[in-house]
Amino acid sequence: MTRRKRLRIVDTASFNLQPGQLLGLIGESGSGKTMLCRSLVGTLLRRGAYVHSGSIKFDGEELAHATKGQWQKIRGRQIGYVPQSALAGPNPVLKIGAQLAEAVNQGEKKSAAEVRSRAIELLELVQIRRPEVVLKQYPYELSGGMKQRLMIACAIAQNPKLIVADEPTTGLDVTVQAEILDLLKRIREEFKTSIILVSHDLQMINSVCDDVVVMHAGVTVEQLSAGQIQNSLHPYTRALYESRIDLVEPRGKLATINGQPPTVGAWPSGCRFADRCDYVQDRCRNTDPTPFFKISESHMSACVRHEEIFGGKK
Amino acid sequence: MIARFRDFAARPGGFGILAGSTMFLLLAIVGFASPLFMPYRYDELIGEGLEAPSWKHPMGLDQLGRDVLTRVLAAVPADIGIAFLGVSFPLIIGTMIGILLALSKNKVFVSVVRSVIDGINAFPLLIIAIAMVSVLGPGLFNVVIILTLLNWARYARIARTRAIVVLNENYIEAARLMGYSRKRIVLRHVTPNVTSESLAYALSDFILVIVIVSGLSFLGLAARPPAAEWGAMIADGRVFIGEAWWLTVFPGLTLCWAAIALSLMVEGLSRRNRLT
Repeated sequence: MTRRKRLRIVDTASFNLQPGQLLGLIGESGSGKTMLCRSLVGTLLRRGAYVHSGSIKFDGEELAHATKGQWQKIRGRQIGYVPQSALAGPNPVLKIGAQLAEAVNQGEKKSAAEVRSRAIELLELVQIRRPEVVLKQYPYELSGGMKQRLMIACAIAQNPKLIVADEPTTGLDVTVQAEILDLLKRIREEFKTSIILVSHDLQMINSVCDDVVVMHAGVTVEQLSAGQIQNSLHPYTRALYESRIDLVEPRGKLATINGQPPTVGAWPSGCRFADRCDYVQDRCRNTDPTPFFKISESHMSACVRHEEIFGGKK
Repeated sequence: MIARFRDFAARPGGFGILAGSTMFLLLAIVGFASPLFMPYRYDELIGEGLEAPSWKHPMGLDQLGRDVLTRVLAAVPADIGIAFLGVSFPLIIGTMIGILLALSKNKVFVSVVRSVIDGINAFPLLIIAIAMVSVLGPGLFNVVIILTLLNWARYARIARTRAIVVLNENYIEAARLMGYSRKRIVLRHVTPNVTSESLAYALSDFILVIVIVSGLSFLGLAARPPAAEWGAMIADGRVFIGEAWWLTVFPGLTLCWAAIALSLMVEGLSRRNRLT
């Protein structure tokens, strides 16, 4: 048997989520977005990972070291999860009705009629037309957008307080993507659900979310209100914002961020963005990645030099 | 309705599935129901013996004067019925063990069971079956026990391989994230996706098992006289093959009919699902 080295995958991640808030979580591939989300539903162990230290407070309950039994009560009931690659999310051999029934039928037993009416209600909620017909169909008969809606329907079946949507729009075309995002917003308004929306797409996040959390190499580097993105106080967020494609006012050559994010296990000491940062100083490499500097109630940055770099602008 | 039927037949493998299942169901229904409508019992002595096929006895009479047609049909429960049991038990047991193996994190348990599976699969089925009959004694139900003891290993291997793949599928991950219990995921999500493959194998295995049942009976190791069974009938009839061909040809043809019917179904289904 081989003993593999323990790796830190996410380190110094921190954010706040208010009830009914739509929070966008953004970062490059491999920056730990999915791992962070998994820690919120307690399915890390499946992947051989665990929460080493820190605290996850959900509705006053400490979840960082919750037991299997505790998670069973929370996962799917209080925290719904819309998984990545929802196109392969539905079980191919079960009819839609059966899959929804399963999501509905957690906890106390319900009669077949109750389950069915709830399933139809859910399908209507996620705006699937002709729900009675769809209930009898198999996943292969649904389009990508419908499958994604179905996964959302399953996630909200128990009226969770929080929905974690891990890249819910990957693999969908732009129109469908917009519809899905609308749907998530509507769900939040109707049920006062908090939503964590994970994406690579800063512009998309910026346009739908209340708050944005930016991750880089396993660290949350900044949390700020979506409207404040141009006033961000971290060079990485700045650079991300600068590298957007602006269709309204094209700005000539597209700005890029140099280099690659450091790989897991080979993280440098100090700030992990240092090697790619235009404003890097020795101080950046010597100071440990600190949790956030609180700039205002809704704005936190992890950059040690945020005052020097952006000081005048805010 | 007719249009849907035509559509079904027109799709790849449609002919095989329809022709095969029709042939098979015809034989099975007529066979199982034959005691209800056949004028003779399978062990009833009607004539003096060895009577050539005629309108009254389409397949003739055997050396003891029993109606061969009645016996060929009466053999259906013994052949198809026993083969069905001999496929279902290993299918169910093997699939359960296979899924357990895929789920298990206990390395010792997994490697021990895997070695047992490899060991059983290493023996030629018919040879070891004959050896086991000599321990358990002849009899159709002993054949079922032996087939279960031997064949589960093949199903376990198929199920394990498939379950490992399925467990890594996105929809299982999704089910886990929905907060479904482990039991529910295994029963409702893993098992149905695993059995689709096992069932396909079971259908082709059915042919082999029918041949094994009749083969063992031919050797006098499964069905005992006076029970009607194709293999046993062929064995009894081969002494008279010179003067009474109908004793061996008709049971043989019926056996072929069953095997061809199942082969057509397997072929059709595999074409439809592009398994080959």
